[in-house]
Amino acid sequence: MAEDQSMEAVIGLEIHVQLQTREKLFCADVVNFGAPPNTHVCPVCLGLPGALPVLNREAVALAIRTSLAFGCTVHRRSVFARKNYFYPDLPKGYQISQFEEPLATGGQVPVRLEGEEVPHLVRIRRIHMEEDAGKSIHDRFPEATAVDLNRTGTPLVEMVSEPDFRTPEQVRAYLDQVKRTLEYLEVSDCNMEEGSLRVDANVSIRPQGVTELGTKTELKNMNSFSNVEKALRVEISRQIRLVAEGGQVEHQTLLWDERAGDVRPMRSKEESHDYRYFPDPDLPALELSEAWIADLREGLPELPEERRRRFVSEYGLPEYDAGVLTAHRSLADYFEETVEQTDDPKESSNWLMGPILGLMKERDETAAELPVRPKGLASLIELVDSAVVNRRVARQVLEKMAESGRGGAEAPSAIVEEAGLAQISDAGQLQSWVEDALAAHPEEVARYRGGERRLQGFFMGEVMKRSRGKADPGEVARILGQALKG
Amino acid sequence: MEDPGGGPGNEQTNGGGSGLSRALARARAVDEGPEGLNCFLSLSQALDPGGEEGGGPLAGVPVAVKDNICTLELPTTCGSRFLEGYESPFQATVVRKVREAGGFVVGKTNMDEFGMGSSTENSAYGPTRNPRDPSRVPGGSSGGSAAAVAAGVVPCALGSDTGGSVRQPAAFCGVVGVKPTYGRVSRYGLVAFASSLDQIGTFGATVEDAARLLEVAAGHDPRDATSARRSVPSFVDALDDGVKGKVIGIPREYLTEALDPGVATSFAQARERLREAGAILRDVSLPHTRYAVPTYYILAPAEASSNLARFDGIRYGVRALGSGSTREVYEASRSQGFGAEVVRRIILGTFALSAGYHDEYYERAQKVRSLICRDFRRIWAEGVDLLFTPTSPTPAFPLGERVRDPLAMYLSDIFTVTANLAGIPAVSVPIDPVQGLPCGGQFLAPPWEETRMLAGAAALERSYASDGGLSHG
Amino acid sequence: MSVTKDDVRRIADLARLNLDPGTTDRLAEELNGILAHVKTLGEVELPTESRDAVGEPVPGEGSVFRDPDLHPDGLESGAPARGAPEWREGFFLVPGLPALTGEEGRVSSDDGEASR
Repeated sequence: MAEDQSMEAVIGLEIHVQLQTREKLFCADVVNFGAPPNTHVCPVCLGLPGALPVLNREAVALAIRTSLAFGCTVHRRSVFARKNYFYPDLPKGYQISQFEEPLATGGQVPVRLEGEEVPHLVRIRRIHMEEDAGKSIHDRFPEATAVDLNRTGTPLVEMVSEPDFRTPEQVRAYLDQVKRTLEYLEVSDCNMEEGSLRVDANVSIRPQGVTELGTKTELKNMNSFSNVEKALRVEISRQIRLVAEGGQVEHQTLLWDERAGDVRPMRSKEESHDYRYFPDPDLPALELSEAWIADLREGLPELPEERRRRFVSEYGLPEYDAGVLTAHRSLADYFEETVEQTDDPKESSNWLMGPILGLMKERDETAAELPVRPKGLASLIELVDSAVVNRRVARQVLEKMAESGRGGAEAPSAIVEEAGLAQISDAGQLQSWVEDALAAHPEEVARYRGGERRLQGFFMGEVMKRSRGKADPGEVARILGQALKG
Repeated sequence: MEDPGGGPGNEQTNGGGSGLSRALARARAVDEGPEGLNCFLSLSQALDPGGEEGGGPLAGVPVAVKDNICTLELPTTCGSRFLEGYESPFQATVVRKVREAGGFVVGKTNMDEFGMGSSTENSAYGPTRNPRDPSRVPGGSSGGSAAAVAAGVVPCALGSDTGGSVRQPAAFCGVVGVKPTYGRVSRYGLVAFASSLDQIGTFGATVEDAARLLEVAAGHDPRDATSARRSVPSFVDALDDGVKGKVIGIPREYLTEALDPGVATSFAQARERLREAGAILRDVSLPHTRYAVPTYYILAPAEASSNLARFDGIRYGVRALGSGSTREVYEASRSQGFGAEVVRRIILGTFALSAGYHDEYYERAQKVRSLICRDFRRIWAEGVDLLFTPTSPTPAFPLGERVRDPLAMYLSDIFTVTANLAGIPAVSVPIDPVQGLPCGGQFLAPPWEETRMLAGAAALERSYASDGGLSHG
Repeated sequence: MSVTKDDVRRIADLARLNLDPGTTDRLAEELNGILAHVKTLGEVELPTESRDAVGEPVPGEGSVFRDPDLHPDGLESGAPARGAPEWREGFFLVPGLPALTGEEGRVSSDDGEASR
């Protein structure tokens, strides 16, 4: 990447988020991903002559909650406006959006890079509501574009940030934070591959110390967070190189080409878009009561940033661990439910960050979906604490719990008993295995006594073998240590 | 010629089946032949009237419906080539209500394309002729519905009124035409022209016919967000209330030089009849009246340019064959499907909204609209109960006279656009003809006061009837 | 102010209308006539407060939301196809748009569609 210490990058983001409502924004069709084409449509979202939009209250509630979560001012009055343009998957020939009077303005998102104590605040310029368009599929039929209008009318919020980003890493951290927050709010599943989260970036460069903004380009077509980062890096480099060679950055829209790993200009003549916005006469202004907004504010869950801080202060967890555990609300809930039982945050945290996350990844399940429930995990931890099983065996028990779908509080003990996995701590039994192991390997004993202390591990292994892994390692070590001393 | 005051409606209202077949026979008769009026674009094929047996306020009543109101069995063309044969998969709320009240839809009536016009000459399916003088226009854009009532095919009909499209044809054809308060009647299923101005209105051979149909059509509709949550009083029951003691304002701005002298005379006589009926007449001023037509001709086309963007040839309607690119599909389909007036208004409207002109035209017109609304509010606050004006500056003009002069055509709306801009109810009722041609007087009322307004119209109608009917001009 | 033929062409393009040169000329003339008439709006002293709107709910009535019991004015399956000028395998068809031409204002994921 072309680096130039004298130039800084200035980035602004526009995010479109699909709201997880049951019905569409202006009609009663059910929102559905993956249905056969043109099966979730009605006169309203098909734009048939004579059809009229009527606003979905649930969508407004989600949009208000989103705005509140990002610290925005929710306006008591906002207005739906028509954004007029022609595209085959835009049936009315206009998109109902908000223009001069959006739902909310003026919030911020705390962005924390790894290792940073204090987050950098990215300001939100506005959040507004709008309906989604349908899908145009260019590669299904030769020389034709196929149009599916199922998605038309799905509720979206658009979040526009101020150009407060200076690096692609900050952008990445922001996107992670936004996604986390929206997931906590249960507003959206923020899945870029499925299109429920879309990101466009505005990028410009300027000499350090200058306050005026340079000419910006618009970056589109990035379908994952890592592609957003890559595209930004490539574009920033391109602009820096261009300027260094004496050129000028042109205002244009660029598309990220994942395969080529590069940006390219959109193949249309650059016409500035004249959307001819005007307030939609079919929809009265949205008037919100103070009471409803207050109600929604009160009902907000603890947000990721707050929760992360609380995990550090209340449970004494390291920053990093708190971050991992609060990455998803269901994981954070799982952790707290476990701690409630075990009263041991550190131990619970280790189990979650290691084996549980591993299990989730393997099974492609969220913490809420895992068959092993917090009470089950807590019981298992209890078994380890009371030395009924050692850690290695406990992990086996965990696997069995997941496989068999037995995840409740009684499951660990039951499984240990059924499989006879209880740890052996009986000193007499251990003593006899130790003596047996030593007797079988006199040469190694001699070498150990001659100074090769690392052979302790070898003997540990031998005892564990004889015990089929069930020996209490701590006890074995003690007895072994004595025995080897001779 | 039929005297609409006598009410052919009497013949129609006995028994569903025979009422419908009689209406259908009459419809075919008036439309047939080279002198045919061309009121209807489609006629019901049903033998079964489809209304409730023996019940409902419209039981057995045949109703004509303007072709921009969606119906299930009959096509909805909006008088446009673009929607030739278009079958809507849903019906308009008002049509459902008419049917639930026992009425039956005789057919869909001719209109200026997408509601744009004041003469029904802008229909892709030929003009409708005025039943009172077939060499003249019936008015527009709801000319077909007005003519169907005037020709005695049906006692009442549905139309739509954006700038006068129910009242002006009512005046030209010598029948009653009502535009309700904005939000009184659901627009769900009315193909939108200018959404903040459109209302479905009713025609009647008499005030009672129009009032009865309006009462059925009105009421809150959850499918229309601009539809008011207000109960509908009985308009019919209040028709005998009269105008005694009511203050009726005569706005001086409506008595302009543009007024045909014959119309001025008829209007003056109508005014006297109101005074004799006990009304207190008062000279009033609505100073922003002269800005109404320019305001309307910015706002209506602007909204229309957006409402008509859905006609793109992709999901329904005309699709120009052999189009090589999507852009070509749009351009060819729209250009082939739309008539000249529609194209003109889309261009005008797009211009008024476009960058660089938006503030000067669209925004400014919206602000002037507020001032027009305010003029009316001030008058009502000063104790005026109703306003009375001529409906149109002239009686029906000859076919072909104005169709090539858009501005002349627009100026025939001069007295009617104010009610749409202000969202207030208005009704045109026949007054003395001018040289044998029908003429209308218009009542305007405060929002939601259709009852008072219809009582005034009924009082005037009674006044003429008690003298043996309208004079023969 | 005067509307030129170029203005009309530009507007016709925005509105996706195909006008032959004769029509463009005529429209420019008509538009100028209408705009001259509309110019009188320039004389009006405008209100400083925000404009009224017709049809707005009475303050205090709150916003208009969809009735949760309202079902879609359903289209029986197959209805979108009826009347569709071009229809194949459940999709509306238009002539192929070159991938990623960037027609105005596309939300980015649609451009994403094309690259998959």
